Amino acid sequence: MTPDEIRTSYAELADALTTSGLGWIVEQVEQTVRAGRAVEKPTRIFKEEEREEEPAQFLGEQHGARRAGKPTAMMTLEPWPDSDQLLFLIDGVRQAIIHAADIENEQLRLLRTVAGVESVSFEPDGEPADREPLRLAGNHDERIQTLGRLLGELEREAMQQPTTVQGFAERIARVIHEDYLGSLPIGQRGTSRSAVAWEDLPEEAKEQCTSDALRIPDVLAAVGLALQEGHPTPDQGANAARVIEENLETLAEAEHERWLEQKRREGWRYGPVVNREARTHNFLVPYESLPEAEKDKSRNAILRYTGIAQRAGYRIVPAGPGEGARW
Amino acid sequence: MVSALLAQIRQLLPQIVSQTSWDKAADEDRFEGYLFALVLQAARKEGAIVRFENRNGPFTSLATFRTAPGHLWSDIHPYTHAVIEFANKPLLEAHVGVYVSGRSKLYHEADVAVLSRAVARTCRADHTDPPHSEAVLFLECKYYAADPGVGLGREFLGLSAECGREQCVFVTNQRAPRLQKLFEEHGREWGHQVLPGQNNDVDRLVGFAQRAFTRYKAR
Repeated sequence: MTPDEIRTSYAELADALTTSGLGWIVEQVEQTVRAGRAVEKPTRIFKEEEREEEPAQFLGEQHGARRAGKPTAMMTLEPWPDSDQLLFLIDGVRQAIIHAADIENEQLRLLRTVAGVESVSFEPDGEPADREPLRLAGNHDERIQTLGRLLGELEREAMQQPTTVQGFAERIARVIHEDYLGSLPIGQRGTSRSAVAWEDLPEEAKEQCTSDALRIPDVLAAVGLALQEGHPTPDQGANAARVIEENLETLAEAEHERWLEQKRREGWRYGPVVNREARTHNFLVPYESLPEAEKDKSRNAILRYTGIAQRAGYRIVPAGPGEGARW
Repeated sequence: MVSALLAQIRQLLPQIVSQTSWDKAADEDRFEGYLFALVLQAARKEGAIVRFENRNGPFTSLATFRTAPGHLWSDIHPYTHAVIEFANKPLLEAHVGVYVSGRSKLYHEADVAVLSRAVARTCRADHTDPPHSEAVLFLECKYYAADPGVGLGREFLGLSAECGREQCVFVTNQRAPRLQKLFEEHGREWGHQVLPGQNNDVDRLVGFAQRAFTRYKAR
């Protein structure tokens, strides 16, 4: 589905549910969506500043250059992508009708085994309920099975998003840039050509972020990992973080090697200083020859992969048949 | 393709809804009845004999449960409870949707409760509600169409502090990753994705109930 189709499908399904008296499903899904998606964001906590004399008038928090402490992960809430919202709604219908019918049948099967129960009635204790008492005698309505099949097909359609290399790279590149913006002191935003929103970024800077994005799948492949569309389950997230941490040095080296290859393809060569005109760079050397501070940059870039992937709507999974990158 | 699918779903939903109720309360009722049945299955696995009784008459093949929490002693309807008999142990009763009083003497709603039959008989005779201290097992059941909010988890932390964390378990049909984190952090018991066919998750809940019965037998 295209993004437009996803949004239209959500609205269509929500309307069909509401007009059928199942608006509670839509309400619960929308509550979940409103709560947002909690993700870890790598950042650096400001170092404690020495106390300065209080100004006569508070002019808002002023940040000079960030004196960063050690890297840390902090939580932030992000909106759920439209595709996830549609998947939540589809699953909501499945829970409310299909699984609920299974529950009814299994309940009766178990109670029949225990005490010969043939049917179950739910009655209010006190004021009569504003609906007929629920009477359960087993539910084998074929239309429910049909609904299950249709929801499955809709779910498959929703998951098949037309993703191109360009689409993938731009999604990741945007998040990389947002990550960079997030690391800037507030006062520094808008003060340079690269410290602006993605839309206002010069093409050259966009291309740089896109190159960074395109390296990620290759780097992950060095330790048997791949990117896949969709959000990770808690287990997938934990496993990816563990594999990355266990292989941090290999990945950092792979990241640097891919960057080297990319730079060389663009005509750069080693030089004692960075010179854009002459296309020379002092770090166009093998990983082992890099200063430790530069290796740290590579390591930190790797440690941001899980968060970046997640915020762009991807998860990191073991590479394998059907598990590989799908862009 | 997609619009045809949606049109079929739109056509089907009213037909399904017209046959029986699929509102939130109805799904919660179904879920509570299912979990009640799983608790009885756990008791049988631990060697109990289980039989049903009605509040005011013999049990027939129709079981009647409360659609919202009520008093154990209520006889507005012939509410059904299970009698659980372990060898050489005082009898237990299992109920759906009854009020219990917690440590602070405040009322709480137990969606599924297993407690001493002697206490249950006292409650029926005196029109009182059972105290948490007499319970073997409490289930807090939450059936949701989407990921339940963290607020439910906070409420459960309060309930289990009031009624005993060893006996209380939070059970939901959802995967509920946020609640899992919360309960793990606070050392509470929970069951997630408890649905027919999710055998591992169902077995985990039944195992929790079995441990509660094992502790009871060892008293």
